[in-house]
Amino acid sequence: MRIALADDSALLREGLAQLLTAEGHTVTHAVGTADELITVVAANPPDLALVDVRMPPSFVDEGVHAALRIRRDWPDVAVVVLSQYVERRHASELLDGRGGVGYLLKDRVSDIGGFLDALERVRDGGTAFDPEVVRQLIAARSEPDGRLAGLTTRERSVLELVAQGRSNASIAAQLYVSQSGIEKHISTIFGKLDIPPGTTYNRRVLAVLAYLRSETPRARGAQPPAG
Amino acid sequence: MSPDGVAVLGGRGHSAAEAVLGAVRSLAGSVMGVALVPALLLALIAAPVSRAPAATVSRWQARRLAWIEGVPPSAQPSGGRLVGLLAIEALLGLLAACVLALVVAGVVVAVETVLGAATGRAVTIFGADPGAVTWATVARYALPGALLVFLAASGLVGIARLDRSAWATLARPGVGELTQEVSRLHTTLDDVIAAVDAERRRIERDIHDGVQQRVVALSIILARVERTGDPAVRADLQRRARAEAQQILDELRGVAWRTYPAMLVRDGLAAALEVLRDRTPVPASLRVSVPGRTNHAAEAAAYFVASEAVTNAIKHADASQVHIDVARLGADLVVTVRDDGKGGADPGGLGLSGIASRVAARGGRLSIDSPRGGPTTIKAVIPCE
Repeated sequence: MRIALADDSALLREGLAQLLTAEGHTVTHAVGTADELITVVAANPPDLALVDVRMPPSFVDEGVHAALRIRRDWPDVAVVVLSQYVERRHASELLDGRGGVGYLLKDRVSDIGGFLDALERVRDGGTAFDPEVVRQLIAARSEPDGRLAGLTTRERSVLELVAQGRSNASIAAQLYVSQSGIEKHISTIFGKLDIPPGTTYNRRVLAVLAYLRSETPRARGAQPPAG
Repeated sequence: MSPDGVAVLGGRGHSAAEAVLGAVRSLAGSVMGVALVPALLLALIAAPVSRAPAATVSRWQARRLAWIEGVPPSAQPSGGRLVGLLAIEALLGLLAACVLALVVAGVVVAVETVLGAATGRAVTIFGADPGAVTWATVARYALPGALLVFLAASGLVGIARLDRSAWATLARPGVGELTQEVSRLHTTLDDVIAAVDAERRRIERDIHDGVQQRVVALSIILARVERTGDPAVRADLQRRARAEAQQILDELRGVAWRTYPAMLVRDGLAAALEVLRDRTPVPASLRVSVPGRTNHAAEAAAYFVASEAVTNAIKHADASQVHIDVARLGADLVVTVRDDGKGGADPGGLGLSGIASRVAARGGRLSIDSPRGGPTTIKAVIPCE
């Protein structure tokens, strides 16, 4: 696929570009600031934009803003945000009910297979959320008397993997369970969490993420999660 | 009445000799006080224009009181209370002058009377004919004379006490000054906390932008080694991974050093500054004339001023050379860093405001002279006590 990447560290830009090229992708542009990224995406929209969160001038979350802008103005361009630290807030900002978005910890890049797999998934309209983010989302939703408390340990592991954007096949492989077993788990989980079963795989992941992202029922009054 | 207002006459002495010495000192002190009256009046006249003479005369007064008492008085008065104190001192001085004049007149009369009685000649002071003053006259006036001597001495002692207690009362800072000082300390405290936060942010940035990115890059290279089937590519990637690991170590050493140079504690300011000079990528000259070790906190402040100024000169001013000069002047460490860069340093910037509060916290001063186009001179005066 055609990838535009933005990272203020020249070293990492170079490393990522070499990696992606070696794996058969085309790096259309490699830039150092969010503004440059917007410029090159506007001039020559890639299939996917790979963005670092912290970039000049303020080194806070320019990358997230750039990603949101690309999603708004170029809906066909998939976006993956890379971050040195995981912040639930950023994940929540990127979740707008549409696929084609990912948020990964930079360290995951060295799991090249998983990383490339995540890029493909996002390019195809799916999602890829770092296990660490998902864990934080789940922790934020976990209350002793909440719905998540009603899940078994196995169901929680399945939920985590669904939320990361994994396919049933990959969840089954990871947990050494058959695919049909995973499907059963998922329908049980959706029942327990009151999530309407999605027709497509993507809607299902987005529904889970929306559920995890929404504020706790206690804080906002019970309401059906968006999906 | 403060404890400073102890009796002056033999106040500190226990033996008779000490009491006499005290009395003599006290008398001499009163004479000095009288001698200072013209200076006091001049300082008071000059006060609306300049406070400098008043401050000088007040220092003389302090020295006079210290000489009489053997202990220096409390703090110097300041502001409006300084003028008030000088006015009181002038009045007391004039009063002492009157008393001393009476004492002198009394002594002259007594001597004349005794001489008249002894020789039988005329006493011109009170127009007595020869033979009019006899020992009987002396005997008649001896008791009242002694009483007058006692009263004069009491007067001088009283004036000295008033002098002392006026000083003790007026030298204390007023409510307004204390309030100002408290708010200054509050501001300094806030600045120090802000400076600490700024340093932490800098360290985080150091780690994030340098070390972490390199480690990610290294792990990508290592992951590619595992994925590639081509031995030539693998060998090349492995070579790069080793070089990268070396770079990471250098970077880490740099971050650790910038966080806090360990040798600052162990070997002192001069040694740490030498390393700073050697690590500076442009020609840097260093002159340190600080005999021995000074207070740790002052040395650390001086080091960070130099370090921050050098960083700024290279990062923002594109300097081609830097001069660092550290000297001990009296009770202060003076750090001066000059560079030939393009100037325009921002005192409100993270680094400079950080060192400004560091210096302010020690009660020092930082001045930044950085016109557009350069050169830049950053000078810090840091008290060592």
